[in-house]
Amino acid sequence: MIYRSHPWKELLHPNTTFGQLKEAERVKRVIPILLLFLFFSAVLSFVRAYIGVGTEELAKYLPRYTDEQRTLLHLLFAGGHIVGGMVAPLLFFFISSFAFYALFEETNLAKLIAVQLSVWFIFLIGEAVSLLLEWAFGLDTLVSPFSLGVWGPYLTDDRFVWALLRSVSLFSVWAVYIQVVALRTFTNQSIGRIVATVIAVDLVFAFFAAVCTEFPFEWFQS
Amino acid sequence: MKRALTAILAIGLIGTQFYAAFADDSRVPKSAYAKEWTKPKQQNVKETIKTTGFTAPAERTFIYYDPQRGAIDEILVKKGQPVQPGTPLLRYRTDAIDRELAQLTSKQQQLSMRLSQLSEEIQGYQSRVAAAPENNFEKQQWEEKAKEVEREKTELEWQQQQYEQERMELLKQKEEQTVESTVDGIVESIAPNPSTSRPLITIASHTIVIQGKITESLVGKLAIDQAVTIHLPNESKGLGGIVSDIGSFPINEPSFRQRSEYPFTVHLVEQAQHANKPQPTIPFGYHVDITIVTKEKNGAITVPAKAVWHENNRAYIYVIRNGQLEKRRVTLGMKQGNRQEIEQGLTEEEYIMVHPSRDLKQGMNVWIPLEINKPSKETIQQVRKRDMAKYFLEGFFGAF
Repeated sequence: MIYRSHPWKELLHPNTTFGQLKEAERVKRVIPILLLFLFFSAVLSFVRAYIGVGTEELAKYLPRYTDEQRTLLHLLFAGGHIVGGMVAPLLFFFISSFAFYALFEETNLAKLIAVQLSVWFIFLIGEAVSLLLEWAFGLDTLVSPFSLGVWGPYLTDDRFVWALLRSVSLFSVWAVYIQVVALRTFTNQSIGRIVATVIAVDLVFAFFAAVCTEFPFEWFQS
Repeated sequence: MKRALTAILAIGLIGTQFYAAFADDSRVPKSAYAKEWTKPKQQNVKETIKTTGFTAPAERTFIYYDPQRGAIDEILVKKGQPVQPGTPLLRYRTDAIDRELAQLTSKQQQLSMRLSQLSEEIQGYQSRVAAAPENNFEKQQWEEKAKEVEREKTELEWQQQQYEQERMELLKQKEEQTVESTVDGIVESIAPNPSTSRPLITIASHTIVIQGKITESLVGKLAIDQAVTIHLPNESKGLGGIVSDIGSFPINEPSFRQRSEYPFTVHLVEQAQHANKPQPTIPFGYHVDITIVTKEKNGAITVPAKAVWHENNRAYIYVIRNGQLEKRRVTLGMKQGNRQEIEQGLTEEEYIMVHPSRDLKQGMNVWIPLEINKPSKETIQQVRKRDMAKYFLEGFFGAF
């Protein structure tokens, strides 16, 4: 049986679709959807850079550069953001797929990759919602009201903690649920082990993302 | 049931989180989009008042009817006619003087005839005296007669001189019955009926002034000798002038319902400087736009007027300082068009937000929208590689 990847259906009916995926002999339409999501990620990153989200550092040194120089730096910022916007989900996509493949012997890598596409879709929805809030209300990326990051400023001034809290969101809970349902369908492991493994993998990646987000750019300052 | 409970819990949690993010006293940082931002400009500013007015004669000369000089015989000019000093304007009737002159002429003629007779008589007596012998009684008589007639002639000659003086006097009076212009100008109006209460003839000077009006709220800003630009409709070039007079009384009777307007006069500078050159003909009563320069300052620091906002009668602008918004109180100066002078509180090197909104707050981070322009090679060479790497990586890691 051939299974055609369909992230939207997988989100709406995870038990049924992942049951079909388990029984499938081949998985198709993974690469076209991956490329499509990659394109959407790039577009979202470009829009974010275009409206100026995250350009505080550039605004800090307004008098230092001429208009042309600032435009060049902003273009480089936008370029970096687009590349980062594609690299970050790709990393998560493959690292988490390989991690689950390594941790659960009875799984198939192609099928895990198909599952991770629907997780990527969740994060794309999250990114789009976050972008809307940023555009409409100027909300800092780390403090989306859909994540625990919103409590960060009430707890501490440390932006690293905000970035960690951001990783616990409505969308990440949804993603964990989808991953758990998929792994439960694919494996005979206990629910406790599956949940713990999924959360652990996601937390590692959340920590990695928080470290990247709060990259110490002071190193580059003259 | 379990699903509904989960959904309610999720909605409740997200609602709480939204409150935490958007409550008035929220600690969640928000950023401001610098949709338009700029640096102040140093420029010359003028505070001006714009109003309207019309052209009017600089001076008017009024000729009144003088009833003591009798009835008017003829008005010798027409409305709109140019006049110069000496141009006859009107003539009073001279009937009485003419009658006296005729009588006097008649008397003078009679007197001349009598004087001729007397001259002949004197000649006759003198010839008789010459013919008569010496020491003759008749000779003495003729001599006496001749002397007597000569005395009479002398008296009559004196009388003749008196008549001549009277005649000259009457001719002078007759001349004075014609009123001449003493000024250069144009006949502006001629009253249809002679009256002592209103001018019979009004002569307007050739030079024009501008009569303007200004509301009571602005009249205090006007001062004598302030520079003025006059714009004629459909003409781009303005005429220079100065305020020469400001009326103390309103144009119309003051009332509680309406604000008063005060008159002022503008003298055209170019007209005065080139009085001997032909000036552009502007008819009297022609409506013009008036721009009065009430204040002027060189090298003032100005910002777009919309960048300034007011709170509790105080003026503020948002300065972008170290990537954050600084709500700064400023002292305003003059306003020129869409530029506002900042007297205190801002330097030329600082950046400001052009469109401040109610959402902006002190300390907000500033986001700068991207302008997509292809950078030149020179720009790429000018920027340090370290800075280029920094901003690329910042964008890259910011995407995680």
